[in-house]
Amino acid sequence: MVTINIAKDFSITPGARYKSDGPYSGEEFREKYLEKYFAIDGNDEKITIVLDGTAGYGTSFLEEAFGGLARKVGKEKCLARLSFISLEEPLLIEEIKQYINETTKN
Amino acid sequence: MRRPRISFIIGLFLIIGFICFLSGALWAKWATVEPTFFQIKITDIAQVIFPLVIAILITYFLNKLMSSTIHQREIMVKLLEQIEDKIRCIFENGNAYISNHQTSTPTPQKLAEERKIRGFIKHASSELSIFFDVFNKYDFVNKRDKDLLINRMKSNFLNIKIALTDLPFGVYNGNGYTNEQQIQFDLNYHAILCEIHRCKIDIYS
Repeated sequence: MVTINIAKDFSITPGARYKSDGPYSGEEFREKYLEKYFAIDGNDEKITIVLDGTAGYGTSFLEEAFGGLARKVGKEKCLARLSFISLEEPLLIEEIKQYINETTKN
Repeated sequence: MRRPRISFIIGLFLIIGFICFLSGALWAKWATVEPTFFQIKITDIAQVIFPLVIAILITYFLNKLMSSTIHQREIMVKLLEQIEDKIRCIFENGNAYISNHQTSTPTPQKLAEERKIRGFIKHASSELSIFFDVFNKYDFVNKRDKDLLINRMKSNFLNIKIALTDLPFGVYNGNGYTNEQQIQFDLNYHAILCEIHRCKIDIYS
């Protein structure tokens, strides 16, 4: 099982949607930390994302990171492999799952 | 918690008064009591005292139960008021952010405002979770209405968050908020406020 702690591994101030919007964007997080685990077919390793410890998340970051991943690899894979921990803001988990569920694969 | 104490004190005074009356009567050699009083059996006295004690106890426990329910409701409403304050802060700071930064340059002021808004959203979200947890434990509202209310509040909160923190929030280049986004932000703010007030009424009804 892989654990990604956004505050420790990425940034305590996650930014906006695209890399062109500024530093620590959702796109950057997705490309650097998430996509590599979905690149190999047949890999069903569970990935736990720890959301606590940051200054807070904007919608654009969350949608691009997790909704964007679902658009690339499919929402079923995302929901099956990703799990989230958020003790500070439990509603974030529902929010992310909503973004994943609302996507259609490209 | 004051009411049960008062009823307890009143009950205690009544019992003490009753005892004092009996001892006074005894001391005065039953001067004020009819001679037939001595013919009263202990079962007759018990027949009077027993229902009296039961009535006092029932009143005491009902009172305690009621005041604890009222106390729980008050806590829930206080929690809602805290959430309302945070939502108001999100709205006021969000409005200032939208009008101050229609051109997106990463000034220290802009970054500080973004940090503030993220903080308010985080706190509101956290308080909402606590509220839902507590709200689910009590039966002030029936299950169906409770679920509806929670879903509506969640969805309204998410909508106001999306309206403010989706693009162009935190963007260091490009355009500012569109008119449509500003209208949505305003509408979602009022929708969540209405929901909070409706919830307060439901809790007290």
